[in-house]
Amino acid sequence: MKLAWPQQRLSGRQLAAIPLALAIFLSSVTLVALASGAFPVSRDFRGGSLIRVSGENLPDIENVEAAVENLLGSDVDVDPIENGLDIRTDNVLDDNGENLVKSMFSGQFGILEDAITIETMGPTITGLYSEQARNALIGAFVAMAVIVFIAFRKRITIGAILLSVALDMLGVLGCMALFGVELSLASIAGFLMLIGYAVDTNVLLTTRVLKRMEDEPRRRVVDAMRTGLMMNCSTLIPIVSLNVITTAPQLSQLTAVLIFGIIIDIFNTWFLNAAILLRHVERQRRKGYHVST
Amino acid sequence: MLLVAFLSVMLVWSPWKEVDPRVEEAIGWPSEYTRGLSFGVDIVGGSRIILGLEAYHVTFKIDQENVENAWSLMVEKLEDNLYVSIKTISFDSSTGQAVAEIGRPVTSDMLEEIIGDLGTVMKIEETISDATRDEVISILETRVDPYGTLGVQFRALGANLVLFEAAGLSTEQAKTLLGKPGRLEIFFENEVLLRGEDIVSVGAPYPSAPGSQTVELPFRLTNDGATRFRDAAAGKANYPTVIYVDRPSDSIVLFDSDILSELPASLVYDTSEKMFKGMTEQGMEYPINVSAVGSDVGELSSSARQFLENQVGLKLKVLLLGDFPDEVVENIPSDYEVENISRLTDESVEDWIERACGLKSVVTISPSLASRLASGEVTKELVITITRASQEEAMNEARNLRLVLSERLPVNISYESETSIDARLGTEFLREAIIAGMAALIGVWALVYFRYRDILIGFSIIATMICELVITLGTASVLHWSIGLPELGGLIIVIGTGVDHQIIITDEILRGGLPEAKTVNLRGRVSRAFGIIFVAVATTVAAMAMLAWLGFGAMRGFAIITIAGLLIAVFLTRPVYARMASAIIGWRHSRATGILRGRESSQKK
Repeated sequence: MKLAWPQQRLSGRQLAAIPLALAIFLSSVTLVALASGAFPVSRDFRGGSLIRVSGENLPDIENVEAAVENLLGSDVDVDPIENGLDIRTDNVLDDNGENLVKSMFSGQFGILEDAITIETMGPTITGLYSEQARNALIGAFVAMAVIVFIAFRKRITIGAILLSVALDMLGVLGCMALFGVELSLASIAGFLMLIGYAVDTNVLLTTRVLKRMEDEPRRRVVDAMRTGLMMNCSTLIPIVSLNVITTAPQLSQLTAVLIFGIIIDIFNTWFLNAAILLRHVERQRRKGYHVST
Repeated sequence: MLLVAFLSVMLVWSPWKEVDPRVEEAIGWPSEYTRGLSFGVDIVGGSRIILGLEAYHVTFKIDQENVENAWSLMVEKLEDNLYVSIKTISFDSSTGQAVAEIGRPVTSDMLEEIIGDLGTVMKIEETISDATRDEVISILETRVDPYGTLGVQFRALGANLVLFEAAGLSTEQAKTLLGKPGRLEIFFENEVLLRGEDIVSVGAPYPSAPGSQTVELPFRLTNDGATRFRDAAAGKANYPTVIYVDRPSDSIVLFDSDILSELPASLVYDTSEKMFKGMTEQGMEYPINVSAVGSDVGELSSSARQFLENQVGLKLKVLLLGDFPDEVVENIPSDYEVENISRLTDESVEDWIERACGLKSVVTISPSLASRLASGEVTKELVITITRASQEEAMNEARNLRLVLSERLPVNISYESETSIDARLGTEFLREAIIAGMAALIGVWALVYFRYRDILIGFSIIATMICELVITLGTASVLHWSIGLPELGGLIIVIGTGVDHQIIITDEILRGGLPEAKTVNLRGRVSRAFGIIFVAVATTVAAMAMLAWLGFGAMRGFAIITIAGLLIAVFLTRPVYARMASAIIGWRHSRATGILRGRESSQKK
């Protein structure tokens, strides 16, 4: 199979270089984005309010932006959506603030109060969400590690699997920064799903290479890769179709994280983890020869 | 598996259930076939509000010799001045330190002024005990949706936050419901004696003695309320007090006169006063203070018509108890608003009438209390004693009564986040998800076909997937999980990851067919595939369990539906698929070798 030529021809070092280069590139993207404050974070974690104005024949975006900024005294973003406008601000509006905004719209632009919905996210919640997200991510990673440890009980394989999953997550962060996918509750759920899912191909690879005795190791890697790529494709099909079709931000964030993760995982599993495992198996075999001679 | 899948289809369809009008409005005709499912607010539209419960744990240092006495005195003073219930969280008599939970913002100056020289405030921190949080949730539930007809949901999010979801209501409507307590009235001798504002706090119910069938529910009145109560109830042993919430004082109950024959001995209808009357166990009679008039269902009786006409202007609403046809309803004077109070399944006539009239409970004055009051004692601490057939029943009754009496929430609530979802948007999301699901099934089928070039394998993979989806939905229906956006995402991901395992199984089985592979028998190969699948599923389930356990309320549904889907897959549909695939491959193999043998034999000839 042509797809598998790198695993057949390239040396272990060359194989490992590709995902490592990718990981370095994407991590630096993440770092730059974080340092410049450009990393997209949703209201779930940042807090703030969303004022949604619906209806047709709405006033100009600049006018609305100027009016709301004037009223709230802080920076706002106005985005046109289908049949309406989304106005975002970092201010958490209270009941009084909401009424001010509504009366401003009806006074200045003649927009009825019914056409305006205001969503708010206060600091208590964003704090709680951040804490829960962190706990869930750490918990999931540890739980995954424990299961992998029980299943394989070899330091080298567990290390390789954990490294590959960790690099997947770093890579996804980079992709999110590159493509402007927000870090939200939904994308955190995507991350957790990814922790569980990215291991699958690694488990397949490790089982086939270490626990099977037919064929030589490289051949086993290629064979596992055939099954693995097929698995990745079959997962990507539903997720990509949902991502393309849906207009729900939650679902598109969730699926985007999974799509990035699965694609990056292909490199981390079949290049990096495969290289580590092949080296390990070859060393073992050499050791085996020593004992027998 | 087919049987389970069929059962699931029936559960999702549930033709015996009524179609939820809100769902019908939002998603149209498919609601006919999904009666067994409940949809979340992000599909049917509605609002999602996150409530912050403001409670403070205050640590006091008691500066008196007798700490126990000083503490109970302090709690009393605090309750009387702050008008909230004070809950003792911890009390250490050796160090003289106590922690109390106070359900409103407080400052140490304010508290020290109240307690005087009894003690000092050491620390105030904002936090809430789980018990109080659950209590607030129960009170709000009874307040917002007492009969569970609106389908609202409350969920603790962790810390002091509670998620409130109301389908089909705007955030304003939902906030009005949350803010408005039921109107509590306690009647004594046909007059309102106490109202909600007279009750300061209601304590937790406790059994009178271990194992007894009697449970006591303590509550505390304001000074004013206690005096009025003393004046009215002094010396009136065994007199009934009747507790109402939202008594429809502006309404007339129009009941089907046939129900009179079903009335128990403790409830009679008084034709002259046009009221129902109850009877306590001690034989004391009490009126149910809502006008009521009976009529045949087929035709509005002349007496009922006359009564209704006389009351025009005095009453505004007619409550129907019974299946009155439209032509009878049309005969009701048009000045009235008409509301149908339909009978709940398994509801007795007595409960039905009491529900329509807002009657919650009838409590009698104990002889000892009556004599104490008669001697001039004003008591603010009162106890309602409830005796039922078992302690459990009495406890349930007491808990319900406590919710009724707790008109004042034990803590202040604030609105931390408000989101509203337009029903049209939700429907659009659902439609998109269904299209995506279809596209996914077709895409996966094509992929599998091109890989294995075998129609039967492709067909069995897709069939397994569909069964899995249906069974997962069936499970959601049985366990009353509501389907929202995250759940839809979970379902689609279940399709995606589910196919993976089938591919692992198929590849393992096929590998046996490769010429260079060592012969491992079919069963061995399947079990090797399951070795991989179990580890793979275990990691995903573990990650999702973390999301469900440690994670945020909003994404819990996603985690739970994914876990359910995966478990159903591993323990039910995968083994079935493995059998099917083995059978198909085995059959193809035997046919191939059969042809070979046929050739050999013909060559021999």
